[in-house]
Order: sequence, then C-alpha cells, then structure tokens
Amino acid sequence: MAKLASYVLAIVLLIIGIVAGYYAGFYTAPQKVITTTIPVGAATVTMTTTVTATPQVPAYTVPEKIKAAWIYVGPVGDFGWSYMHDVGRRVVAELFKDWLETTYVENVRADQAPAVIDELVKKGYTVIFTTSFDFMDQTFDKAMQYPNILFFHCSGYKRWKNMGTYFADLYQIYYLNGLMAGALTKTGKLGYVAAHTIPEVVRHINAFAIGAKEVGAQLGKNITVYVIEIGEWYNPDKARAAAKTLVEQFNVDVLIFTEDSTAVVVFAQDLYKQGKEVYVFSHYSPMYEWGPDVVVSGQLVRWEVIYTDILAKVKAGIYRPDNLENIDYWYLLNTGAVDLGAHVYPNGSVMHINPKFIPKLKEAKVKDVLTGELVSVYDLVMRRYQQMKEAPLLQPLQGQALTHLLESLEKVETGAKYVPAAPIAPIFEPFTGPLKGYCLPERGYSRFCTGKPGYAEVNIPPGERLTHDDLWNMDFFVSWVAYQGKI
Amino acid sequence: MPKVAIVKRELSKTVATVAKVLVILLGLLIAIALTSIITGASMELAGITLLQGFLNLNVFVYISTLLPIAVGLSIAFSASAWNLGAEGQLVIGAVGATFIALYTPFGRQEVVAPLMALLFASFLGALWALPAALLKMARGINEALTTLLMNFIAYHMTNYLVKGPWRGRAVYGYPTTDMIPVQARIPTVPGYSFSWYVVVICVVIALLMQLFLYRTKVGIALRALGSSPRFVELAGISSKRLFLIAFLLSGALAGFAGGVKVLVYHGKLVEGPIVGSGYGFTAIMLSWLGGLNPLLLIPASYYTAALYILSFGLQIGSAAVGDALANAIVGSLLAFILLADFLTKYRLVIRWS
Repeated sequence: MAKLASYVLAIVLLIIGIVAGYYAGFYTAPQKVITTTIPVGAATVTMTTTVTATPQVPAYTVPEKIKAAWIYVGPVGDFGWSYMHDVGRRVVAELFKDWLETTYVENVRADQAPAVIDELVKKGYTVIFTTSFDFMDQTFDKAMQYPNILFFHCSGYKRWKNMGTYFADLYQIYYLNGLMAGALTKTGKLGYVAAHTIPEVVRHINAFAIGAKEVGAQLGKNITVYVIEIGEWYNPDKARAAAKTLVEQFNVDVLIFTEDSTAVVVFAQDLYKQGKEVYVFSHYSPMYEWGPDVVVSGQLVRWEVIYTDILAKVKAGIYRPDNLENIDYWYLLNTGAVDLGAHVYPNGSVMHINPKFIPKLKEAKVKDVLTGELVSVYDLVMRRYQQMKEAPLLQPLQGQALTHLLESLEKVETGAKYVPAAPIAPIFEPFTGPLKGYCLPERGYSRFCTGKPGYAEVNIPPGERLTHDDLWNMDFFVSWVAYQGKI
Repeated sequence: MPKVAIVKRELSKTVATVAKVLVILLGLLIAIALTSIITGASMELAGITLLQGFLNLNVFVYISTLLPIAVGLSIAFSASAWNLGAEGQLVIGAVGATFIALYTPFGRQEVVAPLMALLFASFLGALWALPAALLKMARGINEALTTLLMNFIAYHMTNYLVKGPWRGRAVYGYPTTDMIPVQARIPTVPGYSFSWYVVVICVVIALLMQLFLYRTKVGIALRALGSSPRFVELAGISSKRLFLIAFLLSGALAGFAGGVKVLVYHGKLVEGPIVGSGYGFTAIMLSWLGGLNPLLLIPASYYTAALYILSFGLQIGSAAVGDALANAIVGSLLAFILLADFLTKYRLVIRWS
C-alpha cells in the first residue's frame, strides 16, 4: 500500500503544483476586458479580449527615421511568397533610404511570432509587416499590447486601430493564363496543384477555369480543370507528386499551381526533355528560367507597390497608430501590384508571354464575348490585360475596407452634359454571370453557400458581377472544376 | 600508426564545472567572432547582440514549453523507459486543451477554463503514452519505436480534426479551429509573450519532480530501475509498475506543454506539425543536456531557450545575419556544450607505436 500511496502523492503533488502555480500567477497581473466588434465577411463577430493593463502611452509622433521590419513565414530563398515580399522590402529600403531603415526575420512559425515582435519593438521598429495568414491572431494580440506601433498584416481580415491589412490578388492573372491554356491544350484537360482550398485559391482556380473555358469552348474543346490539394504552402515534393498524378492519371497537358516553389515548373521541363510536352504557368515569382521550353506565362506579384504606398503615408503622418482600422489594401492588376508574366529582363521590363508560344496563340482565333469581333487568342489576352489595367477610379477605392463594395460598380452617373457617366470597375470582369457551380463541402461563408449542404448548386444570373465580398468569401467551384481531393 | 583511445577521467566537481564554463565561454567568443567577421559589424556590437539573446525575458516563452516535457522525459529515461513520443503526446495535449476550451461549458468560465484545459491536456498526454507502455509490458514490444510512430498518428489525427469536424467558422477554410474563448486564454506579460502563471507552474513541477525522484521511495526505485532492475525487484517493488508510472508522468507533462501552447501561444488548434513544431524532439536532447536531473534542467532549458531567441535576435538590426547562418551559430554553441561535457568526462589518449 505504501507504494500506491507514493504514486497518488506524486500525482496529487503535480495537480497541486499546477493549481498553486496558476493562482500565484493569476493574482500578480492586473487585467482589463476589451470588447471589439470585427466585421468578418458579411457577418459580424464580437470578441472579448482580456489584456493586461498597459501604462499610459505617450502620444504618437512621426519619427525622424522610420524603422520598418518584416516577418516572413518561410525562408527568403523559397523563390516564392517570402522571396517576393523581400524584393518589395529591398525596393522601399533603397527608394526611401534617406529616412527608412529596414530589417527582416525569416522562417518564423506562428507561435514564435509574438516573441519576434517583442524583440523588434524593443529594438525600435515602429512599422511591422507580418506576411502570413498564420500570423493574424498573434499580430492582433500584439497590436493591442503595443498601441504606438503600426502593424500591417498581409492576407488577413482582423484589423484594429493600429493594425491594417493588405493583399495583392492574382485572380485576373489566373484568368488571363486560363485564356492561353484554353488555346494550347490538346486534351482539354488542365491540372491545378493547389496549396489549400481557402477562398483565395478557390478564386484563382475558378478564374483560371473561366478563362480556359471561354477560349476552349469556342475551339471545340471540352474543358475540365482537375484540382489536387496538397495542404501546404511550401512542399516541393508534394507539389511534384501532385503534378505527376495529374499528368499520368488525368492526362492533363497544362499545369498551373499555387505553391511556393519551382517544383511544378521543373517537373514540366523534365517531361519536355523526355519528349512529352506539358505547358506550365509560373507562380508568384519569375520562374521562366526553370522551364524555358514549357513556361507559357504566369503570375507575378509586386509587393513594393503596396509597401511604397504604406511607408510614404506613414512618413507623411497619414497612417498613424489610431487610424488603421479601415486600412485594407485589395490591389489588383490596375494598381500594378500584380502582373502577367514569367520573366523579368535585366532592364526591369516584363516578358508577359514566352515568345516561343506567341505564334500558336496568334493562330487560334476566337470571338471576343464583349464585342463579338473575331480576334486571335494573343490579341484577346492583351485586350483583356489592357481592359483590366485601365480603371482610373478604382485604385482609390481599393485601399480601405469601407469602399470595397463600390469596386464592382461599373459607372457613376454624373448628370453632366459632356461627361454623363464616369467608369469605375474595369470594362471586363471574369466573374460575371452566367456562371454555374457547386458549393464546397464543410464551408458556407458566401451568400451563395451559407447554410447549404456540400455540392449544392450555385447559379449566378447573366450580367451579374461578383463583388469584393463575394470574391473574398468564395466557397464554390464552377461546374467544370473537378476537385480530386487532398494528398 | 598512432593509436587513439578514449579514456574515462575523474575530475573533481569544481574542476569539472570550471572547465565546462570555460569551454562554453570559448564557444560564445567564437560565435561573436564569427558574427562580426561575417557581418562586418564590430566585435562589441556582435557581443551585445549575442548577450541580448541571453538577457531577453522572452526565453520564458520556450522554457514554459520545453521544461515540462524535458522534466517528464528525464523521469522516463531515468527508468529506462524510452519515450520518444513526447511530440505526439504534446500534440494530443493541445487537442485536449482545445476540446475543453471550445466544446465544453467550462470553456467560458474564467480561471476554471485554463485549469481544466491544462489538467485534461495532461490526462490526454498520459493516455496517448499508455498504449506504448502496455505493449511493452505485455508483449515486450520496443517502446522507442511505438512512441515514435504514435507521433505521426497524433499529427494526422490533429490534421483531420482541424481540416474536418473542428474547422472554424470564421477561418475561411483555413485548417484551424476558431479562437478559444478569451476566458480560457492565459494572459501574457505586457511587452513579452509568455505567461508568469505557466512559468511558475513549470518551475514548481521541476522542483516537485526533483523531490519525487530523489526523496521518495518510488522515485529512488525509479532511478535504480535504469541501472539495476533486478535490485529493484528484490527490494519488493514491481518494476512494471514503476515503468508505467514513469511513462505516464512523461506523457502527462508533454500533454501539459501542449495545453500551454494552445492556451498561451496559439489561441486555437492548428495543424499537428505546427503545434508540435519539434519541441518534443528538442526536449529529448534537452533532458540529456540537463543530465536527467529536473533541477539542472532549469538552467539547461534556459540555455536552449536563449539559443532560440538568439536565432531570431541575430537576424535583426545592424549585426543581422540570415536565418541559415543564425542557426549555424546557434548550433555550434550547442556543440560546444556537448564538447565540454565530453572533455570533462573523458580524455583522448594518443599513442605512437
């Protein structure tokens, strides 16, 4: 029995330790409760947050020299997401070198981010960019703890007095890539390697599918986009395996992906060397050099467009730690924050389409759905590119959460004699009805799928343009996307 | 041909300690020199950067996860219970804490919620360690292997939960749960990212386990189990039961650390490998660094934690180096500790024949 008593004693001591320790800590820190209301998509979420009471903070003044820091989730050498953020950082560091000092911390995991933020604040950094969705809640906690520091979080939806959000979205580029894919494919089967099926990627898959069908259907092809999800943002091995499955089992001859490495491009180039031609579109950074024979085009991002705007406004005293609550950049092709292409020449100009494929794209003739003219696919791509790029009134609306819903207005009537209406949204929007689709299971945050079971039908009536919120909450696939599950 | 032999040496405790400290200081000096050569920053600046890593209170962020796991593992390893599954037990502990906070009525009650969550996390951690212990006792199946494999089962179970039934409503399809209620979260110190409550608990646990291992009959028998199991049997204590208690304690403490990760750092359940992020494996190294002694584990975990802080601190400011180089410097600092340990216990004898 003595033995048993000892066991019990050990466990009791352990429990006492936990309880005693907890109470000892509980009575040593003062706290207060803050209730905040955050708009999340259409719904509103009320959150109560307990923060330890902070002493009175001195009023904010714009520092003479601004110190800005970036926190990256991956290594700068990933040649994808973090790499392009760092290119953006280098641009502003050089551009504003008279008054800006920058630094970055790479390979930070979500649970480590708070301590890294503490360290940055202690070292005098007053503008902090956290560049992963994973960091959202940690950045939000820290924004409340440091009311005098300006936080900008990339890709999230939680904002606060001193925490803004920003994102450069690629869906228009995926649509343009889709047009080319529709012209080039012989089998009509296209493969998509997706990191996660969150709204951002779902939007990109749909935009690509819409573009491919617009051209493919006119050329007599039956377009299907096969999607394999790999569940990670950066995993070259899984991306390659998914690409291999798509080519071998689904007979796709075009590959497109959302993953932060060059794996899929390299895979397609290897196939080319073995005598099999599979076209590929590079993602996020210019990956042309990894597959000069197979890369048709791709998506490029230019975070410096957003970073320049933010930091110039911080310097001018426009962005202050008490007015970021509605700062939410949603930058599209019209702003230059994203671009069509797979290569940047040494002089800085962009190769939009690999010259090798231009003749083929010029041969294929299709009708422009807006005008009814017969044009080559190459001309169509360039026409759409220009149409989405020219939207002079759009950019001022894209910087704040309050004005996002106005972005899909096509024009504003002025009543003036010589300028009867001012255009807002681009003439062309890929997500315009009629569109048919189906809801993704276990989601339901858009107005189309909320409260509906998985695979419920989605019908967007002819002429209806999806709004910012529809795009942001997208939880359905168009009907010719075939989701194959996760590996 | 020269002959090289490694010979055990007996040094007095003071000499050994002084020698160890000297070797560690030498390691630090080399790290400072390396940093300053590579970045072109002055030695002084490199030194300050390095020192800041060690003086940063945020070391407690890492101590409060690593220390409880390492204490648990020390108990297990002392009893020759080779539990390599702390990672999985931690992850399952995190699942337990999330369950209490999100899906039970306790989740919205102040004080009760974190307490219940931590206790349930420890319970689940122990439960996750149980099958391996039972398999060993009943069939003699190597527990190192089974615990190691259980890690991956834990990862995948957690992934299933956050991608399936537990996926949050306000997370846009991202593989995480919703945030746990604020009542269940353990507040952190202003200006830092750790919680005093947890730090106090961790130190108390280390002290209690020290008492348990060195002052109670069961604890002493536990330690003897490693070196002479027959002796323990002869003393009339069931070695199987000792094995089990060591295993369960280590599982419970790893589960506790998992609870801490959810309640303090994540505020929600995320994918398995992100919750675990290798702490369960780092703790194995740490428990040997501390010589399987819960008290010595406190400075050992402090040192390891400081190295974590350092690997980020080195990336910031004027003496900034990249992540890869920062890790190389941190790794060499750790290597120097092992070298110090080796040199105080053994010496190299080279004979020319």
